[in-house]
Amino acid sequence: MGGGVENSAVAFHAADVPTTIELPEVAPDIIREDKTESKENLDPGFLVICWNDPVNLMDFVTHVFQQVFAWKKEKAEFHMMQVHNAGKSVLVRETMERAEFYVHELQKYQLHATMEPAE
Amino acid sequence: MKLVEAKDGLYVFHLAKRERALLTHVLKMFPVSSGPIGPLSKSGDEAKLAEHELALAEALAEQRVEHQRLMDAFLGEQGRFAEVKGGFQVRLTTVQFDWLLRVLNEVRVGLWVKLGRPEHIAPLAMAGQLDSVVEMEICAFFQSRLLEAVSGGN
Repeated sequence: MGGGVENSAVAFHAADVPTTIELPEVAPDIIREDKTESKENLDPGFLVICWNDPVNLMDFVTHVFQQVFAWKKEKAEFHMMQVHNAGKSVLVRETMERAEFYVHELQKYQLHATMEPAE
Repeated sequence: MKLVEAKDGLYVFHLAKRERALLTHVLKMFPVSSGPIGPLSKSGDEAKLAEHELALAEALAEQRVEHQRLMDAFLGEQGRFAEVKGGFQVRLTTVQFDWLLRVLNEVRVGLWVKLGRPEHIAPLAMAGQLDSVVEMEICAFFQSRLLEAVSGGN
């Protein structure tokens, strides 16, 4: 590539160049987009909580978590121990319908499970 | 009660004669109590939840009827407990296995509810509730044996 300014057929002189350039005033259009929010922000949903009780066997609770949520044994045991040591464990956060379904399933196994509004 | 074989979704257990008698005894106690073990929710609008609480109670009642139907079939089936040397053998599919666990637990929890949901069970043995406490322990014994089987022990 060659052809710099010096070689251009059109020569510019500094005096021809305005010191300031007036630009036309252009106001930007403002496009208001609908605010999008994640599903969680729209609906905090419900927490499915399992509460400790002195009657259900620990291994049985693990078994139930595996059956109801199709969890691996390690995850089921983690939540079972949380119930045992902390008195409760938040198992899942779901829509109202799904939370109700899970509470039904857990209570069908005689586990003390409830659904609480997520804040 | 010992696991003899677990293969292709079928569990075979050996029961001593007295174990069969005890298992049959606690199974025939079903159902011990009715109603949910607890409310559907501990918080929220009680009026709004009333309908949902009712749905839970209905779901549990339906399940109880189904369990009773399966119980009658389980205990009434010829050859359910096949006599072998030193006792009996019982065969359970995975579905029957889960059902048996549920029913034993429902009897156990039902007895606990009838006892007034005590925090500690042992002292009740001294308060004229020995039968229920022993029956709860029988359920726990069979539940433990079943759970050992599914976790690979015996």
